[in-house]
Amino acid sequence: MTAVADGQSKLDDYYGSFTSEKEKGPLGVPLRLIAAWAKNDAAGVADSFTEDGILILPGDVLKQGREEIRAFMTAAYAGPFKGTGVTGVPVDVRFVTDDVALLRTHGGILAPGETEIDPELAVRSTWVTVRVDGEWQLAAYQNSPRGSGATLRW
Amino acid sequence: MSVTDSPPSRASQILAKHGVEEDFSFYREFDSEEEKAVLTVPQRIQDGWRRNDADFFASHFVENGSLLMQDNQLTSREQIREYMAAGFESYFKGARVTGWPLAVRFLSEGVAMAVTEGGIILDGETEIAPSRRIRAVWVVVERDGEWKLFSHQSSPIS
Repeated sequence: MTAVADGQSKLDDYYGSFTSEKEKGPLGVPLRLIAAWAKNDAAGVADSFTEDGILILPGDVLKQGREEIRAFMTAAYAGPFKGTGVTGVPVDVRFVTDDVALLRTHGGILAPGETEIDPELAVRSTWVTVRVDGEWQLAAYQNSPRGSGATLRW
Repeated sequence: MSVTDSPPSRASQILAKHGVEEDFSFYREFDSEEEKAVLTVPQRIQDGWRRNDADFFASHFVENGSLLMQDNQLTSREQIREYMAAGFESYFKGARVTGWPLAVRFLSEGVAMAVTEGGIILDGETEIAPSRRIRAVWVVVERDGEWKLFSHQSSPIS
């Protein structure tokens, strides 16, 4: 298989059943973030968000705005996230309006060199995406443990 | 404005309509009329917990509303109602939730997002257990002149 065909095949796997051009718009946001993460590119991750976008992660992480997100990711890539990747596949795409879409993905952080997620790192992610000047961006990203780590909470 | 247009409902009117006592301290710095109207949704949901009333709880969601509870992704008002009805008869019996807003954003005409911090207080407990402290994202939409819950997910803080 050629590299181009292989790339297209992986992209088709990612989109899964969400094949309409309309759905592929907001579904480009996780692709951008995954690509930036693969390079441990903090600015690239931050630029996936809106100017006042919000990042929420377990481990007491709440960052508001690109600048806070960039600073957090810069530190994380120098420390706990160094060399890691991230992966996720969409399981739900819901348009709130033509310019606001809610995505859900199943995925998680990939330890350096790994291609499969450690079950303890598996997450359910929600992406609140908005179209700003024609470009889909992240208004909010959060994730929560998936599987046995999903303890009782509200 | 034509004479048939009515101004958007104020928070106090929305809460009174649903029989929810307004908590004036809930809004913190998010105290514009628009923000307060959005923040009636978490107050209405908290009241659903206080009542342990699944019908009331689910009624504040849109028909295709979604809610993540533990590892269960619920994707309709009816699923939410059934899940909470079962919960209020067993593991959620006597449980209530508390929370406070950390952010309110307007995303588009009739679409807003709130972030809250808080958690569940199980029957017999007096405060949120450290392991059950959460931050939640609420996506709310205006339907027929009223804010409804489109999506709720919490992430553990610890």
